[in-house]
Amino acid sequence: MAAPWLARASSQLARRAARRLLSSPAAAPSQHRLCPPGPWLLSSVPPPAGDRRGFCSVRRFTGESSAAAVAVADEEAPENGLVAGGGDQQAIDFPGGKVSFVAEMNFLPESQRERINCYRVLDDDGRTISGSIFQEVSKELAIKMYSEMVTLQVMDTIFFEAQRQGRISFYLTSHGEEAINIASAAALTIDDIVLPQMKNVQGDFHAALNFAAVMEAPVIFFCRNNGWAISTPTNEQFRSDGAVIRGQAYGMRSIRVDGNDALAVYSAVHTAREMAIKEGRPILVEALTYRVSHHSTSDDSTKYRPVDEIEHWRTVRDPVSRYRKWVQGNGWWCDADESELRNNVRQELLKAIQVAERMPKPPLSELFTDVYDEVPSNLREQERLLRDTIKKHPADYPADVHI
Amino acid sequence: MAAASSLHATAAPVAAAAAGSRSVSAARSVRVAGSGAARAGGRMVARAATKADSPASAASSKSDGHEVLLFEALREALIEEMKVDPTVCVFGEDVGHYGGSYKVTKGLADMFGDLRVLDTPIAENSFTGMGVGAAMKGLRPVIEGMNMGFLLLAYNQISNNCGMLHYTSGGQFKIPVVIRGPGGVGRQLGAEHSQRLESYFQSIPGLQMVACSTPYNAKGLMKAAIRSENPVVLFEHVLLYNLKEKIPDEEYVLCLEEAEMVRPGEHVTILTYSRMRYHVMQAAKTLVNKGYDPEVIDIRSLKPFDLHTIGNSIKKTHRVLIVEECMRTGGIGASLRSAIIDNFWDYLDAPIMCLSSQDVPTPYAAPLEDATVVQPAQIVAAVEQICQ
Repeated sequence: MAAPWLARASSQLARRAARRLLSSPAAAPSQHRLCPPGPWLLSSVPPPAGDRRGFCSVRRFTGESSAAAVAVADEEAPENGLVAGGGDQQAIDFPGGKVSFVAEMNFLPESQRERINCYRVLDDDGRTISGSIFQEVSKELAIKMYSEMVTLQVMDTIFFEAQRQGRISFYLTSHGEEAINIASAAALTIDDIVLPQMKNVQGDFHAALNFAAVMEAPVIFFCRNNGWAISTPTNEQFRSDGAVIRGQAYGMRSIRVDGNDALAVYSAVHTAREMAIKEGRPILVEALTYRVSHHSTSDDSTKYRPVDEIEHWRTVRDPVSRYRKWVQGNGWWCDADESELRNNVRQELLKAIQVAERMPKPPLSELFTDVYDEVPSNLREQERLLRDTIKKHPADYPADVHI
Repeated sequence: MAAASSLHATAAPVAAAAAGSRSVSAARSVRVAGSGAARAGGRMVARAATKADSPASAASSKSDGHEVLLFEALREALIEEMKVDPTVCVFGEDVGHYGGSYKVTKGLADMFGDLRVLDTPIAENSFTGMGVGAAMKGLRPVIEGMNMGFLLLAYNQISNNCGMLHYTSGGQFKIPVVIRGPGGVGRQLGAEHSQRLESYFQSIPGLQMVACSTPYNAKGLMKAAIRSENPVVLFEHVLLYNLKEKIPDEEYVLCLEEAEMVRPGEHVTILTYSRMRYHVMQAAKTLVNKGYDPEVIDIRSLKPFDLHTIGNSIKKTHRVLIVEECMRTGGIGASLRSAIIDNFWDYLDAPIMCLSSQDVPTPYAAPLEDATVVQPAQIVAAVEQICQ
């Protein structure tokens, strides 16, 4: 019946719903309620008839989870709405839950005394910090991760050059952020859906975190905080303690991790994924790093930041060499492997560019296909007009586009 | 949006009441259109409308049909489609337990569960994006904008994702969403709640747009929109939800790209859609009394235009009047005029006239609001001018 709703949903809601579906007996006609308990209900208990006012059921309005709602279904609130708290403190029922009173006016400070701590496993020299807890990786996985980081590094260098030579139009590099790209992906499986964005924090971010928390969606929000939004440093973008502090504001579990520490990133995402799946909740991961590269091939970042700052992060704080030290320290890698890898990757990439450059350009028809599922008559007409024009003035159009 | 939230609660009864007081006269004109078509009988059906499309077929169907209000017709369509296709779902503000601000989704959450008829937080851009994502993964969301004007907040999603993802993914992702909601000028809803979004959306590539105007075409277009593989924006009108009409008991689906012949005629082609259809039909009564014979076409399909139906009409009458609620600049009328000139210039005996709202925000004051919407008297005067 509603296979997509069960099979693909791994959230706690859906599993709870599935259990109800399997365990609940068929409702007898006399038991028919206003809101028969089906599997596709977010709230397991329908609101009492009198509470069907306004825009949503009172139960959800009070912010209680579905499970808690079931548990307190029979609880009666006292008439006057006041509940005795401990000692002089009183608590009162407002929509959203009980809150305690205080007689003093206390403003929450705009920032905490200390910033949220950052999880790291490897020190700057690639040695595991004693006492650190992390997800073990096999030799095979460790080498694969490292190879991919090197591949990314070489690819970025070659393609940046290619753009400067006019062979491609635009490119964005990940210099200094390779550990984030690779280690985060390494902690996921091929069936996980990854939606990467080059997106400086926009309004959607806030609504998405809010939705995900409300709907208990198993999502990892991975925020790469590299210190810059093109030329705008982060202290001009927000005044909060980075992105991690926002997790709590949306009712979401979060962690801050050293983005230049491949093992820490791997471990954090691995654990976040487990939590998301097992507990049916979203997790926010903020990876701190530094954008060594220019924002893109259209940017010259030396215009807005000191060159020695860039150099420092490019060399001393390089995530690739830091991780390499750890892999070598385990006896899993050596200098010979390094030069062989870099050489092979470079050859492979250069060959790929040549192959791509030799491929024929897309034909004119591709301009009009896939706008809709089928090409409608108005677009067929527009295509006809374009072909006519090109036939009449072939010298004004590129020769390598197949008509 | 703070002021808007208090409007949400009042808009429904105000609009409903207003529409209610209109519904008698409007419903009558709907029936006139139906019987008019039956009188014209052969010609109307021969216009290549399929049997299912023609309102005349409603009268000739085996069973009696049943009376519904327009919002109920939309609801019926939703229920029918959700029953047969488990991937169809509904997202929007207050669509679930509350049943929708205009009652289009009333009872659906009870029938299908409140995950499948989902109350979203107040973030149009985000829940539209959520609908797009869901569509990419195989669902068929019907996304409701409580008022079409709020979907301006979702413009990025509608343009860049709904409209373009099929193309930019090389056909790998389909976005079979329906985006629907009430728009148009209501009764003193204020400038921000009286918008004609069809103006703004019409340029977006990859989007299809239709406007319903009767219970019959509302149900048929909703079903067609849900079944379409393309993203479709279905424009409803705040003042038309309580229109009453008898619709067939049997299942029917209309063609998204087809216009509707409301009243065949010989002297002038009047092209209109949504609520202005009723102002046109009211003017038509006066015009008939004055000896004119206008052909009235409800274009229904705003993107793409049904140039086949429109063209056949122009080839017959040689005169065109467009009556729209959009503003003068950049509205559907402007585009339609341009398309007619491109395609049917040789058949025109007079310049195309277009009656639109002025390029002003819709006023709150009732007499000013009335003055900003094209009224039947203007339509009569325009036809008299064209037919000189």
